[in-house]
Amino acid sequence: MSSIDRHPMLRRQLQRLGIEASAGSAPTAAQWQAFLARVDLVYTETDRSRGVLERSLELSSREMGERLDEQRRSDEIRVLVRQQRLTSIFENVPTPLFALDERDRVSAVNPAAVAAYGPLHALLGRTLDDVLGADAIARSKIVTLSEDDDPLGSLVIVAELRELASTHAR
Amino acid sequence: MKVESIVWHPRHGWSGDLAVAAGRTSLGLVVADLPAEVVDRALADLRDRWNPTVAIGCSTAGQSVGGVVHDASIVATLVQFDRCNLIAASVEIDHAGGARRSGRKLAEALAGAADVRGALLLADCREGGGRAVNGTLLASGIDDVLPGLALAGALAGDNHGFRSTWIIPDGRGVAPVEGWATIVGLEGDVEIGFGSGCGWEAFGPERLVTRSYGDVLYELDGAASLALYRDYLGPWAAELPGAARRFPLCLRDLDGATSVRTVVDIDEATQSLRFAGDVPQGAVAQLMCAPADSLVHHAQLAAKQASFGDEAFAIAISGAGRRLALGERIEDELDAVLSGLAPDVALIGLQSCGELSSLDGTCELRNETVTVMTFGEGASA
Repeated sequence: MSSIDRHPMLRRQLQRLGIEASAGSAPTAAQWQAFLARVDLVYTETDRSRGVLERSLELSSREMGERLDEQRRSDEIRVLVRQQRLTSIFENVPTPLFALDERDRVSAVNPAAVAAYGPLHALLGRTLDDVLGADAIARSKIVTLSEDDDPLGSLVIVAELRELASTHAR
Repeated sequence: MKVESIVWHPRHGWSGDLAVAAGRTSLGLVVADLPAEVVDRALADLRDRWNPTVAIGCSTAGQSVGGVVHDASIVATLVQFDRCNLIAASVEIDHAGGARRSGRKLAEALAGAADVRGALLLADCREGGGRAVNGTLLASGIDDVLPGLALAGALAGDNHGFRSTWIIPDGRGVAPVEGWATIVGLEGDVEIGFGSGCGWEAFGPERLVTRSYGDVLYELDGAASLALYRDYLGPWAAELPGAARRFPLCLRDLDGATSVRTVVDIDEATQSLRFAGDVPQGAVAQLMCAPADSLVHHAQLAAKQASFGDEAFAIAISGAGRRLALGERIEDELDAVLSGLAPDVALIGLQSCGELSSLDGTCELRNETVTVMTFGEGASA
């Protein structure tokens, strides 16, 4: 290896210690000892720096992982609470609510829908047209919540216009 | 402009002599990573025949001339100007009423001058009684009186032992003392440039500063800050407090502004860390690490920013943590600085506990940067 190819730090160390790097020249005993001391220092420093860096990266990775798990758990709890809240609203509003599956058939209803349109077993699996009948649909305002591509299907609110009118009158 | 440096080593004494030419304005700058009493004895040889117009200095975590580091040494530099006047002032920080008042008093000394082109400030890291100097407040004091003053400065460093720091305030007999701050303003036909680069990178989780007061950080995310550093240092925690400099903090304050803060002291009793500047409660903090190549690259960027093409003299003030991170490669950083400056520039380097600069028009404390200040008097100098 020519001196041009040597690592800049090694070149500097040799220069500082006055050691000729060319072939055929040998350092004095004192130069050699000084050189060994500098190399030893560099190895020690490098080990220490690498050790600190590796430890800090390992600890921070673990911390990041723990925070991610914590975040995931927190997200799951948030979703559960939201579901419970929606279920509570679904069960308790006085307006008939129908959940439709991807084939637009009734998959769930709330107690208000049961009270208005018959028992649960008689409603499940039927289309909304079938359950309500053309006259009722004409008299009702039907609001569909949720997106078309929602895998859970649609949530449909059926409010008879008569009820709406009386609500507004009040 | 003429610049000469000599080096004192415990075994070899001074490497030469520094003669001040009659009638020339001159700045003497002494930097050393040695205790005050050792420096005082070594300077005794120099004092009789060395009488620059202004003489200042500070302790460091290492110093250099050109691209060469001189550990366990004293570097004395004499800068002789042709068309520049110097205005200097010094204050004892404790007597002045703290860091901010000291900054104001120093700036007031320059406020009457007609044409101050820039200033160099050196301040001890500790007040009388051993309390750390809050560099943020010191910078604010300067800004209170002379907003927009082009300034670079250093908080005195130590050799990572956190034992003692000192400065040589102008007008105090070229002697190292504790608890002082000194400023030199340059007036007249002199060009001054500034640059600053960092290169540290934030890593790991963000943590909220849940308890702090001024420059003391008690808790991050409700846990003791010193315990976090102990955890991250593992077996190297035995090298505290110096080892804490391996992890500066990146702070994002409530306004979204970011800053880097380095540890200057620890307190076992309260499990807290003291930083060189404010650590605001409510800020978001992240530990930082130092990829060596990034530090070197940013040092070159700082030098390029400071260079105006024909500067004759430059001071590179580098954060003490960079030395820990770079080890023997610290000379790579010096080579990078030199490569960004004019070809024949005389470069003096020192490692500090904090760097002051007014790059954005506001005097601020920065940590773990390379802050480069360049001086030139034009082609005819």
